[in-house]
Amino acid sequence: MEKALSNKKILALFLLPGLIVFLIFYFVPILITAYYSLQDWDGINPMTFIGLDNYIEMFTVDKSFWQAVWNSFAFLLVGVFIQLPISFALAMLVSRKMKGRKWFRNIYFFPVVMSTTMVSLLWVKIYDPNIGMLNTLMDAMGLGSWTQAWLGDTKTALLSVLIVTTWHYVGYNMLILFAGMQGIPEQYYEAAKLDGATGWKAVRYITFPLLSDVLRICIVLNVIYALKTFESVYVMTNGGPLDSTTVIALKMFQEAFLKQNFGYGSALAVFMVLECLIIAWVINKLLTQEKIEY
Amino acid sequence: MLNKTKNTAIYILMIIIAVLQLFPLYWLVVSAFKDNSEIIGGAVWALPTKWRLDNFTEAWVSAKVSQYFFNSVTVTLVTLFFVLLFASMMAYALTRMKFKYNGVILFVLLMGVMVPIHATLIPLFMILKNLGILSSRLSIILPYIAVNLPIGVYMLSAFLRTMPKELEEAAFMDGCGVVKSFFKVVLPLLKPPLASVAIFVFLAVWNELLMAATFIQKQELRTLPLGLMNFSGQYSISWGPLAAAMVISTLPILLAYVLFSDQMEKSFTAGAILK
Repeated sequence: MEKALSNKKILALFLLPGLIVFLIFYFVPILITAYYSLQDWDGINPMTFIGLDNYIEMFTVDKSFWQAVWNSFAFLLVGVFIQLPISFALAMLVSRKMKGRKWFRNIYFFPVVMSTTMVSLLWVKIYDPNIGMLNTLMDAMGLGSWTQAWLGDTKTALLSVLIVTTWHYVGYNMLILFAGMQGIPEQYYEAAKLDGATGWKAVRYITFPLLSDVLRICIVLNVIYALKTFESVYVMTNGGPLDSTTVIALKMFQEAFLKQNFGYGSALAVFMVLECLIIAWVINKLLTQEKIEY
Repeated sequence: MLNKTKNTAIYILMIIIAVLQLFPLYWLVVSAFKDNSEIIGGAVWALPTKWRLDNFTEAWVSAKVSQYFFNSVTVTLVTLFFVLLFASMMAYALTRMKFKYNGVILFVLLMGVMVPIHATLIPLFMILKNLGILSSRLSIILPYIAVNLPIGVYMLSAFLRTMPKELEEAAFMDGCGVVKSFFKVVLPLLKPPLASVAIFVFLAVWNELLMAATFIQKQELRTLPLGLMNFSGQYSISWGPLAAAMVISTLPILLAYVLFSDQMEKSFTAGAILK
């Protein structure tokens, strides 16, 4: 067996088909993006090497870039400080031993499996000032003065998109946290009860510390998802009105495929990758502590 | 007594949240059966006065959702087949076979789990253009396979590492070669993690928009998310047919959810922990 398993031909047969597809259609493009980002190029004419000019333009000239960075951070902050606590509460709720908890878990999770395109188109209609469900419901509840064109107003557009992503993804974090909570042995809670720690105290001294690994994963996931937000904005507002909802990924897409600025678009892509990797790394560093044993 | 009140309060809270999660979907489904006057004039929570199927025929036939549906099915199935095949072969080679660059390959694959696909978009566009396959089914299938392979390899390797080698050893004793023992012994044992990978990849591919929007320019090759987006631009006034198209495009997911919700939970948690 040992001999057969070190046969080079068979190894190549098993490894190469997948590896070649992966390298050509994923790994190599990542490297090429970095190369393109140093060029001035419209995708058709020969490219000219311009060094870091694209990056300099990005950081100093392009105002909508900073708007996009800020918006991505809005997604990040909402993901970590609003969505995650809600998910935590939902996970606590569905972990209670009560009838029908599996039903509730399934209902809360279901939006996650629907496509962002679908969810976004649905909410475009919900926010629609004429036929939309939201304004109609507000009218019915006597809140008629609050109705407006939610996605068409610079004041409400970003918030409206943020609400949709929260609605869409709370179930995802809930599920991961729920799975983590299932892994905490029941004895700990029983022991804590004897010591008088119930309710919030039990959450504070048992659930939180023992869930710290899972919480860290959730935070990193939320951050990365937030930083690469594209579909929801593309479908709901296309960055508008007046760049009020634009994000880095959307800017990259528009620069490259609408304005034919392939070099500049690539620089935005590189920025996105570095942003994701660095922030994920920092969070991991900050939140990794000694493992807690009881 | 106090406990009972508390329990009822929690139940009510949970039901309110469930309504918040489900009401938009309820509105979608009933809208798909309503005509325009009912949608604009009627109450949002009302059931249709008559369950009309016009919107569905309109979406399926005139708006070509049937074609988008077929495209999505083709692209998803082909991608799924190759991801499962390649990922299990790679995972097997990386965990069971002896060679030097094992660690390097796993590290390179890790890039595929960490780096967002957006970063590959512009070069991929040029690569596909130069290969002459831009705006063909292959132009999204190949990137979809590449994007989904790493997570598949990681999920399957994790499983293989914990799987005892005795059965394979027995197969070798019986004179099976590596290839035969892989297909006859290993693959059947990999079924549970393969199901998880399959669900993960199915949802990712079925729902993908960015690459489809960039690489598919022919109208007749559009996948469902892309078709729906375009549809909503053309039919900006009539919500009914769009709602019907959206219901149709979600049916396979709903079906998968009803059939495999436990497996789906597992695959999402496993996928998340790996990321």
